[in-house]
Amino acid sequence: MDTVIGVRPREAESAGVESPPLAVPPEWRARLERRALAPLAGTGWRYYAWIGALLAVIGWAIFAYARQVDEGLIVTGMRDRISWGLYIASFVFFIGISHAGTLLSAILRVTRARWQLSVTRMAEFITVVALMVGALMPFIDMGRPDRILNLFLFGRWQSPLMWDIFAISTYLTGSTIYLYLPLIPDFALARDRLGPTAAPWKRWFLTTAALGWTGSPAQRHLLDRAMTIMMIVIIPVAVSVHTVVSWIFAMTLRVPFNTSIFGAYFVAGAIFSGIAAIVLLMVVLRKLLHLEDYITERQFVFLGYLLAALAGVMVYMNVSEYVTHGYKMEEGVNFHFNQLMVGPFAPLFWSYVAGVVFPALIVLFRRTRTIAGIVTASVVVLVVMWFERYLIVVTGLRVPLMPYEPREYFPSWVELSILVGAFALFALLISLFAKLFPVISVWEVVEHRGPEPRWQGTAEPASRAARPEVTNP
Amino acid sequence: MAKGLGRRSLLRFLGAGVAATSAAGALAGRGAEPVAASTHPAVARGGRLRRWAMVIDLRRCDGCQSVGKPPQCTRACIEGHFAPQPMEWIEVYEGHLPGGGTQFIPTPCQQCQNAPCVNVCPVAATFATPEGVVLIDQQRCIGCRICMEACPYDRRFFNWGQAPQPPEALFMEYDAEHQSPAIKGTVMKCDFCPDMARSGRLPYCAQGCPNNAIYYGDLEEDLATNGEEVVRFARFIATSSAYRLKEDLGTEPRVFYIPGHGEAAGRSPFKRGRLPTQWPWQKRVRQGAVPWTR
Amino acid sequence: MRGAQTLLLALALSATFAAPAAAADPVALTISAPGSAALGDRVAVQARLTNARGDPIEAATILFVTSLAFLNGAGDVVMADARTGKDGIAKVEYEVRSAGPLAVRAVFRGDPHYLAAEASAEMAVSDGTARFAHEVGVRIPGLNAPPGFGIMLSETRGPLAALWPAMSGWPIAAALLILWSTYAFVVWLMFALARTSRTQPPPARRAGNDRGVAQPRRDGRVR
Repeated sequence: MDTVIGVRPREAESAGVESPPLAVPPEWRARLERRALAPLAGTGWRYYAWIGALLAVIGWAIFAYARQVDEGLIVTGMRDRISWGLYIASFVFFIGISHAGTLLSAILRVTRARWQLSVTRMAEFITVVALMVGALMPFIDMGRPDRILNLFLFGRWQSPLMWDIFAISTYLTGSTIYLYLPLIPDFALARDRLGPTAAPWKRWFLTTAALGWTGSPAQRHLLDRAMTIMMIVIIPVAVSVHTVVSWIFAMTLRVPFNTSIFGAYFVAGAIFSGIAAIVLLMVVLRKLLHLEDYITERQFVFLGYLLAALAGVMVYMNVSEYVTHGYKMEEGVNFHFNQLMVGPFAPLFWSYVAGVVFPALIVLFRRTRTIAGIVTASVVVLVVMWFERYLIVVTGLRVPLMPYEPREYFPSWVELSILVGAFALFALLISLFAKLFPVISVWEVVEHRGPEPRWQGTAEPASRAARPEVTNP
Repeated sequence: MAKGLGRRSLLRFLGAGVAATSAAGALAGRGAEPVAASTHPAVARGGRLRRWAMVIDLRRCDGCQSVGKPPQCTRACIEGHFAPQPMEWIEVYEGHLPGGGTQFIPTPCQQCQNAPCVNVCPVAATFATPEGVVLIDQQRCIGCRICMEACPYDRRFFNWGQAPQPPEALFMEYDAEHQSPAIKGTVMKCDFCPDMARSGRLPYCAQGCPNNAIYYGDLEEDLATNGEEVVRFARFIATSSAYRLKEDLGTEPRVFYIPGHGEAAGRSPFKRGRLPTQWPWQKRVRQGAVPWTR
Repeated sequence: MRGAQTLLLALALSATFAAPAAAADPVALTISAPGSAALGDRVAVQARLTNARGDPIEAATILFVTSLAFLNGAGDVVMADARTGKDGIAKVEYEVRSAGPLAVRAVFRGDPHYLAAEASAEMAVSDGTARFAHEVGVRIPGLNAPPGFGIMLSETRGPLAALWPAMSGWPIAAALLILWSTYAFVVWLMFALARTSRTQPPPARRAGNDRGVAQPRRDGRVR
């Protein structure tokens, strides 16, 4: 297959050889550039309406938060016995889906996989935005947000929450850098294509962001080096982030939390939900921006395979956790299993179990191994993984520590409003990113001929009608 | 920053401060010079710091069934500290015994020596004093509540809103040992009354107990008293087979329990139930204060 | 060498000890304790109980008490107790934790056969440093606590304690330093990239490259 793909210009030039033409028809390439840069070029009324709707939802969430700041956390459903709830569950959830970018963008890149190159940009979007929204949640949960500076003035490095701050800030910085690096050539492309006719501010923005990119060998070399460093560094950072997030639970002595599996469990769940988030974003942006040629069924199916593989890992983690504790039934475990599996939380728990297994089934059968099937699986996964975070927090805290009656927790309207607002903020930031940055990494797709390995020369690329063979690596 | 005693000044106070121990003269015993006659706070004779601890004799605790009232230790603590409703800084749990009976377990903050709450606090708002007492600086607390997740004894309470406290509480100057007025959005708990002990008095709960079930002691001088008798701490807990709650968790609490079910007060283990705790200012609370259920 | 002080106390004592009816015999109780001790010493105290004729009394419980005041309580504090052996001697050993002149008393509470008795000895305990080792937080033997660190009451810190440094945050600091230095390096690479665009001329156009990569011109015009 490699013979069809042209030698990369850098290698050709450094070898002093005239670069053979890439077998990329200019029309194909031009169409790709047009579609990728379309959001940057202009904005329609629908976009403004969408942003307006999101801002309205966020506005309502801000109003709810203002009530909370005014009256105190009593407006939530949390009380002394169950003192963390929806906010912390959502925090864990958002930080979890931020692993999307790392998986696709870094891990697969490190292994020189190529099929995902058309979706790495979206994955990186999700990472950065999810981290931003996720990092907001603990601050919303604080009883004294006015004392936020105390974290920096009096921070104790021994505290799991400080580890969270270190890890998330490091990961956010790293992801931002890692998002920006592959954007440089795309900004240059936008600068060249749109710059001449764009508004002055836009031209200034694109020119500055492009860092004077000309595609020269020296610059390519620097970019490759920077990207290689980042893609290697970001993997342990991402693993450590969700591990330390799990440790705000695992470093306590409560019965369901006091287990060493939490780090691995959370990382597996994070990658699992991250893949689902990518699939969802992929299908949305693919439809809106007409990227069907570049994001084909192949990407969805491969991500479906990954989803199924991670579903297997999740099953393993859950079996490991529950069988290990259930075999022994230490004090408290009995109560926990009861409330989780046959008690008030049974519907949520069993939906979660079904939702974890569901992607594996979808992928197993060819009939369901379609874009629609995999998107459905991803939506289910996202929903049940949020349930899972909620179950961890609430059922974990509900196990009585002393002889008292277990309490109940029901999120209040304030918490639900803020949760919906957080999702709206997520969508808003993604929309802004999609407006400012090309959602598909044009130069990489062109260079590695993205998802289209078969066709050669000047033949028409596979159209939407003809499905390319998805089993071709 | 702090009105009255802030957290830093409190630590300075404990370490080298000056406080008269007023009761010195009254404590003359036979033979030895009373060791509380020291001008330094919380020190035994010779300048050794006190290390406060407690022994709760469950043989004597019957949940105040015999006096027909809600638990008096809790009542005394609430009244002495203006503990906001619904906080019971010392809470009398009714635990089940094998064989079908119950026992009452008055549970103050266990003052763990390996306190999970101290370990996890991100801003060191919860800290341990040299006396071993775990306190909270409500002016530093950011309200993240990870300490409440970490405490295995259910002994920390959060000010979810503006808790009902009596008007008197508003006139107090806040310091970590007198946690009034309650600050919304921060955590509170039993503070072991080291200020009482420093001036030669027992904590409110020990004073309030009609059966003298609560002993307050010093691990440095190895003595404890419940107001009635003075015992040697190590020998007392050894000969009474005292234990600590959730010993296997490694928190190393400073509160010891002598097993029992109130038999010294004539209680049968099958007599269940105690009266619910009351907060005496339920009618005259601050404007806008709304209680909540724990 | 410890000086021994012996005080002989006669016979039937005060009404605080319930004297049984006529058949109770008087006893003689002697106590022997060190005259002085340092704080934290384990002192050995013994008492001998004999009947009126001087024969030792076996299996009698002797309480060794000191009168102490603590907070608002005061009274006799039982330091230890022991039963007399065949020789009528009850021996105890305990750690002194109170400083000052202490009166150590051996108390025999009496039983149906014998009357109660007491004996007293003075012991001067000199002040010293704290005996109870108090540490807060997580102590990991071998890391920030001496290996085999025990817990509770009479724990004193041995010489090894001084050798183990307090657990510092250096692992976290090292990890963060490495990561952020890497980021700084990458950002430096980005600046270098921006710089090369000014120092390097754009690559020359080559024949036959029309279908290849679009080389943007420096003047920004698109072909």
